[in-house]
Amino acid sequence: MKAYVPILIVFIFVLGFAVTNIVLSHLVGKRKNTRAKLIPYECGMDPVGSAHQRFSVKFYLVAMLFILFDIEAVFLLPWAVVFRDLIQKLSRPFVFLEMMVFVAVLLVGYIYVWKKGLFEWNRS
Amino acid sequence: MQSLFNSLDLQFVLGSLIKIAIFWIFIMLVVAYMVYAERRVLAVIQNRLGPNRVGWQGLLQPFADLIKFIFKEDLVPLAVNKALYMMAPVIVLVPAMMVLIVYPFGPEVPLPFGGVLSQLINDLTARVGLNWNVDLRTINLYITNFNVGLLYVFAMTSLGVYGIVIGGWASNSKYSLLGGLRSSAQMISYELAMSLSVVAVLIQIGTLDLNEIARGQGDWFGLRWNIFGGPTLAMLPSALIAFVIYLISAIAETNRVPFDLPEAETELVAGFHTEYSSLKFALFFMAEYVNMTTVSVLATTLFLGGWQGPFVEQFPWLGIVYFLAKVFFFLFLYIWLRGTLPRFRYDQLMNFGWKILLPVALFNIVLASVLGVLFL
Amino acid sequence: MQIENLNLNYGAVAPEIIAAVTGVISMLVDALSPKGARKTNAVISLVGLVLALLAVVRLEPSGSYFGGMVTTDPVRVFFSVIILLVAIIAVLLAGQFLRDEGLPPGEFFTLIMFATTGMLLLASAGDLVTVFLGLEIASITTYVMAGYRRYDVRANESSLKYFLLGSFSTAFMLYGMALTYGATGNTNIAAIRAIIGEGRVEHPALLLIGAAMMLVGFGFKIASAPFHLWTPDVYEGAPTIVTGFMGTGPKAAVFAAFLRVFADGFNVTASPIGAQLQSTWISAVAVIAVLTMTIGNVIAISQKNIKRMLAYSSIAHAGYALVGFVTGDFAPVAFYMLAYSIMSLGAFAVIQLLARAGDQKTEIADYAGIGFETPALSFSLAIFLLSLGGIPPTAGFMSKFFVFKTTWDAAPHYRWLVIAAVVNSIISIYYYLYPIVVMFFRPLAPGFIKPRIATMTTVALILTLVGTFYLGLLPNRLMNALGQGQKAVAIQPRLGDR
Repeated sequence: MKAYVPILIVFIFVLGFAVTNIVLSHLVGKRKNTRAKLIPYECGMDPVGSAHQRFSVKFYLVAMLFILFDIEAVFLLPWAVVFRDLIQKLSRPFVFLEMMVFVAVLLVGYIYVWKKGLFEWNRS
Repeated sequence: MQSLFNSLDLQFVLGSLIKIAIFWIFIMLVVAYMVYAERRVLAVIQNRLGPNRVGWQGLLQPFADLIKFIFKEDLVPLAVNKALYMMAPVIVLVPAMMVLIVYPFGPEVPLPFGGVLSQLINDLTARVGLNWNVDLRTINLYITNFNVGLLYVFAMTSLGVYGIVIGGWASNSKYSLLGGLRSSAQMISYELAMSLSVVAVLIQIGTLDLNEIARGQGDWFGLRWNIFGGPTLAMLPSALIAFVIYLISAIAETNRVPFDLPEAETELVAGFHTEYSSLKFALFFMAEYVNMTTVSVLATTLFLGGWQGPFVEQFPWLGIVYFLAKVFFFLFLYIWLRGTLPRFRYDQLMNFGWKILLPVALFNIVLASVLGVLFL
Repeated sequence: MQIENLNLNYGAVAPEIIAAVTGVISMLVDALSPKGARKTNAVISLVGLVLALLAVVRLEPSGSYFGGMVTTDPVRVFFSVIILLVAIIAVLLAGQFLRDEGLPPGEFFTLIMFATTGMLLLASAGDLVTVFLGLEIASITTYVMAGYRRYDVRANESSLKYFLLGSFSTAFMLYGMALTYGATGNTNIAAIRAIIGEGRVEHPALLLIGAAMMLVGFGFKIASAPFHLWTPDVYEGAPTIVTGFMGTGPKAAVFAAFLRVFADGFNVTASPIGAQLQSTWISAVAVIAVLTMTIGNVIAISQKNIKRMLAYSSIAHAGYALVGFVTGDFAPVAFYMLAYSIMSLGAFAVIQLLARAGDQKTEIADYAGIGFETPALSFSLAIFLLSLGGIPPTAGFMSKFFVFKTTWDAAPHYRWLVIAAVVNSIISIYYYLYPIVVMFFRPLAPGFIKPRIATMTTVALILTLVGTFYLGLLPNRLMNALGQGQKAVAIQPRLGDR
């Protein structure tokens, strides 16, 4: 457990640093606010409409795919770490095939989303 | 009270605090001079001079920049969501810097005058009535060490995405929003390829402890690096592929050229930090460079032997030299790429990540496990 | 748990593997064929389901595999057969449904196959973890299927309601499992049973709360009374085929898991805590059963929409099946679910055909006078409705008889439950007869178009009709098999002792 204590220390340390920076620039920086300066930057024009608009659903899909494949990675990592132990203890083909089944299932999902056009960014 | 001050825990906490402070100063210097080096090297590549007025050869330029940042106008646009807007740079920087505690800078080294120093500390504390027993004759060149170090790094670096999305959204500006979205989509896309590429080398390594990984590459005169296959040369192909994938996705992870779409000036002004100024902008900037350092450290440790190299056993301090040399090589590579390559188009970027890197990384895992089953 | 002695036996999960692989294949076929492959996928799914059925029949009669995660016993075998039959009929019906509605064909079969995988897993679960896994696979696929008619607002509503409430109930279930684990220190159902039997429960209160929460979770999934409110909207909005499918298959599968967790795991009286737990959950189930059938039947009477009516009828039937629960043995419940699945699917199949694309004609008034215009369909519907009402010589009658008789004999304390159920059955006949009256004794409504019936749909209708009469007329073989299975399970309720 002791090895994890520095995480807390460094968190406090770095948080302190970051907050100090924010506060410092707040206190020290001069301020001369005008309306034109305070509106969102849109190449010097007055902003057209709100910035909080709907955006392409592709971003959500990418996020979902990310979760799927990241979970795959999460399962693959421990397997890879214990790989050398496992092939000593269990039969080698077993260790190999168990994970390949897993990878194959994900590969199927991958082919599926590819063919369904989720990676076509230049198509609306 | 006495026992609290005498406890080893307090000494441990103080020790780590001092180490954190030292390493933090070091990383800040790296960031500062990385910016300077970037400007100088780019200038050389583009046949101009670059900053050379502040101090000898412009070496004090980073400090001038820092002072400028502090005294810049602290602009908070009207339409922003203030709390989130303020939080975003902090959320980006804090996890980026928290990774610093697991950097494996070097092996256990003898500290010059360590004996004298520990004697001094012990005497001083004894004078105020404490009973410390500090031993500084050898020290570890890392702050802490736990067996999920690599996972910790991945976890922390991926937290930065939140800051970017929050910053982009809270700014209430179209450029920021688009920049934040693009950036997050890009980062999560390439994070996949990155973690999958690491799986292939983990098969040869067998641990997630970064120091253990570095230590394991010490054979062959300090050159038995994982990029050469680690325990067996037969793993060379998968290790090489993994290294290439890692390198590419690491560059994309940190939003650097040629993957710097989130801040593509021609389309998005400055991306998610369009509306940020002064030190808040500087925090984003720092986080980017710290992240670059982190992925370089990981590349060094995972593939290029970390602090291992010839004669490290005889002269442990050489370890940190090797380590920094390798890390700086990667950092230089970043600058070099920036001076050389044009930017991707966004659809090309996503296609490249999802249609090329990801399947290659998956295939590489299969290859690595076939090789592992056959030869390990 | 030692990694070396897990008792890995891929034969023991062959049905699940076959179903999953078939789902994956049909998914790939759909993705790789440019226009979608309705017929190919239907054939692939059918072949896969038949193979899975063969695998179920060839299972070893009993055993525990994968470190206790999967068990084979008569409950599993019988419910797996029900689930696969439901899936086969759903696949047979899906072809025409997809063609008539012009829906993208591919994923439907994939979803059915994955749902089947989840349900099979649910039926074979020997561990709370596997129960949860199967429940999630089966639920998530059915959420999607409920919204398969993407551009229909009602289907969207149905899917979303199902999803939200389903997730909610899953959370209950998961908390219940966590608390049970906390109380017993184990997630394996057999181990939990042993621990309760020896009275080695750390915190009895935790166990009771955990069991109660799991009861709520299961109650949601089988649409029993205080937790039934999602059912009518979801069943009405979903495409009729999907309604038929999710009212039968997942329900049967959840009943299997329900039986295994409660009628097996929590059915020990050897220790004080076990006896307390058992008497508590059995009386809770008895109350739920009465509530469920009464509410279902009473509200069904006032329904104008036939899908809504059948939704309430489905609630009521869950109540009848729960009556069998108080005996603590699986045979009556299993037989009831088989009979209910067949007749309910048949009824929904006819409704699908009569409703036209987009479920336009699902009011009972739309059925006016169609009796002799499409005699085949209307007579089938009449038979299914009569069977649902429990009129001999149909499956509905025999299954009710079996449940009520067994309960009457085995649980003397719960004879009032049987009486309530019989009264309810008599009430229900009213609303089952009403559509029949409308169909045959009212003038024909204008704008009636005689539906076309595809070959596969015909096969499905014949299957369900034959099943309805077979179970009604010749139930002996099946009941004997179930009776033997019952002895093999050796769940010995001790209701009479108290």
